[in-house]
Amino acid sequence: MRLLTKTSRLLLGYAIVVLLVSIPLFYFVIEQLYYQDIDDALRLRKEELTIRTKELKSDRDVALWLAMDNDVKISSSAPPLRDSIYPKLYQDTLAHEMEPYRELATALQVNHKIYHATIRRSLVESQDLIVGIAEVQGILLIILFIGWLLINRNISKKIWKPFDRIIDWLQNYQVDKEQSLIYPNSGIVEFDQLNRVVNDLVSKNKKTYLDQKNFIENASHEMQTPVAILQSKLDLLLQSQGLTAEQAHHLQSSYEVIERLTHLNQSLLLLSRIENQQFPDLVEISVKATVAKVLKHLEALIDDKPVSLNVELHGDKMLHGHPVLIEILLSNLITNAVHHTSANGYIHISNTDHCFLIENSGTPLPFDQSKLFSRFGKQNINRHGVGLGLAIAYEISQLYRLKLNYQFKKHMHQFSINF
Amino acid sequence: MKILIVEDEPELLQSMRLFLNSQGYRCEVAETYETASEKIIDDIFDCIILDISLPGGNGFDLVKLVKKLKKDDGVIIVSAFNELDNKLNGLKLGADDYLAKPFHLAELSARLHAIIRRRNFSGAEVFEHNELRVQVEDKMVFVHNKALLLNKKELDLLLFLIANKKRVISKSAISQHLSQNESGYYRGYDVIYAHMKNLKKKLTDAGCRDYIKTIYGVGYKLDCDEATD
Repeated sequence: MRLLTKTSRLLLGYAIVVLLVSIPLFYFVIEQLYYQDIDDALRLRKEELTIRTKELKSDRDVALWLAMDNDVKISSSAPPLRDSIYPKLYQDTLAHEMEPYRELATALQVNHKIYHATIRRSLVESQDLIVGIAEVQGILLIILFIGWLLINRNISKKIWKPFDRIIDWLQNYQVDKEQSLIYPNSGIVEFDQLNRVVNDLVSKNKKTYLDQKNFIENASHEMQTPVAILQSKLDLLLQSQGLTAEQAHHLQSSYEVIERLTHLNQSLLLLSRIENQQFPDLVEISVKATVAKVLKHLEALIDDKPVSLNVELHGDKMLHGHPVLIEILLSNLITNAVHHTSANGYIHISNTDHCFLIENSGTPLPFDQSKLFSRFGKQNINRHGVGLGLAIAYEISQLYRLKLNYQFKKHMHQFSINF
Repeated sequence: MKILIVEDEPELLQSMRLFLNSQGYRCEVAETYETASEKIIDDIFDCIILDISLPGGNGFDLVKLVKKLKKDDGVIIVSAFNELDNKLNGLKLGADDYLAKPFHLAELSARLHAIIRRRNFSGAEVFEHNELRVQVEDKMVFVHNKALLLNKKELDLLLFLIANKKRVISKSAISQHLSQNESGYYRGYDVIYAHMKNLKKKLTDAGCRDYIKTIYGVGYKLDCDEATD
């Protein structure tokens, strides 16, 4: 949920509650105020009647007065001790409907006689008025809240602009590319602070990255130069006249050791470069084309062994990555399969839009499956390579968020990459 | 042929000098940036073999110097910085080739040979020995004047043997040569055996004598002398 949505939702919720409570409350308050007004009027009327009725001297006068004023009634039932006002419904003589009234019951002395008198006042028009006022108030409130929400939304959007800029900038940031720092002046203290912190972090990151890169380069240099010297001496030795079979044998062993050393060194450097994400130039690479390329390289090896190879390439899945790494990923898996298939064994490679699968016949792993992708985790590693091939493949799959899995099923080793 | 070798590691420098001397190259050497730049300014070389990290300066600057002086010297960069950036950077500056340490002297010699060939023979070099004729630049192989079809690896292998003819090339060097530009591939000898077997078979099937000698399981040699008798 966006921060703006969240605050807006809270505000909206609050506005709805306030509206729901305020409209009936409003109605009730206005109604009460109106009743008070009516009641005051009724009391005033009573005062007036008390004075005026003194002028009625005969029963005829009284009857006439009662006929004239429909809202005052007197009866000879026991007069109330105290005045009281209450709501009451009366049948309307014209519309034949029950209509609401306020009524004051009091004791009234007319023509030397005390009567039980009631004075009433219709509420029909006043109710329309109250409803009207409440409606107008409600609408005003709604308009007020909507306007407030819109303005708030608008301001928020403007306020968050510097933040969006930082996010944009961070998203495009690559530690290995030269990039100017983010401009720290947004006019809002909190965002300026954020910009400064981001700039600090980025500068520190950059330094660490460069240090690490330097270290890798230095390590590579320091290790490869002695190896280069050693190898050049062997090359010279090989040219010497009268080389005996025994000397040649020793030379060969030395060459192999140097190659392992070189391969080991390069593999380790490759691993750390992958971990440091030093393969930044990403492009779209066809799995199908890469598999075909790798197979072409390994053709002689496959034919020579021999293993029977069955390749089914469907679809044309493109992976987003560095061409060298994608090639290493696939070639390490394929080379691994070729090496660990015994002569006259069987390799099956298939590729769809969702999955790359390579299977080779063989016996179950002689070590724990969890060690398969670890570095140097395996026994008899030095028969082929240095035991880092699958670790490198795994590292590359992690880098590109591909799922590299292994299982042993029906006498087949099965590696799959799910895209 | 006059070569300048710029390398700060004396032992490696000596190895390169000895190996190239024995192939008939005249070698000048320089161990520092200063001496190297002096020699580049004062003299003309067919090719300069150049290490990138040098005491007193950077090998890339020497490449720039060669280009600034408008000299025609070929340049091979030799560097332990086995990274694509360095390679691209070197080639962009005008170096002719790039070789990552550790390399085999046979590989260096083959690259050197190729650069000098391109510069001096305008690419028309032909290797001819009895019934075998190879037009190196066109990559055409003839046995008894009949064209022989080889695949890329077999051709690479044959050309590599020719570039280092009469000397022993280790299997290790062949394996490195065949797998260049194939980062991360497993370099096994079984691959070489397979290619070598196929190459020899194609040559002998076409009626060519077997000039490729195996040297005690450590390497191979294209032997042009013994087979001529």
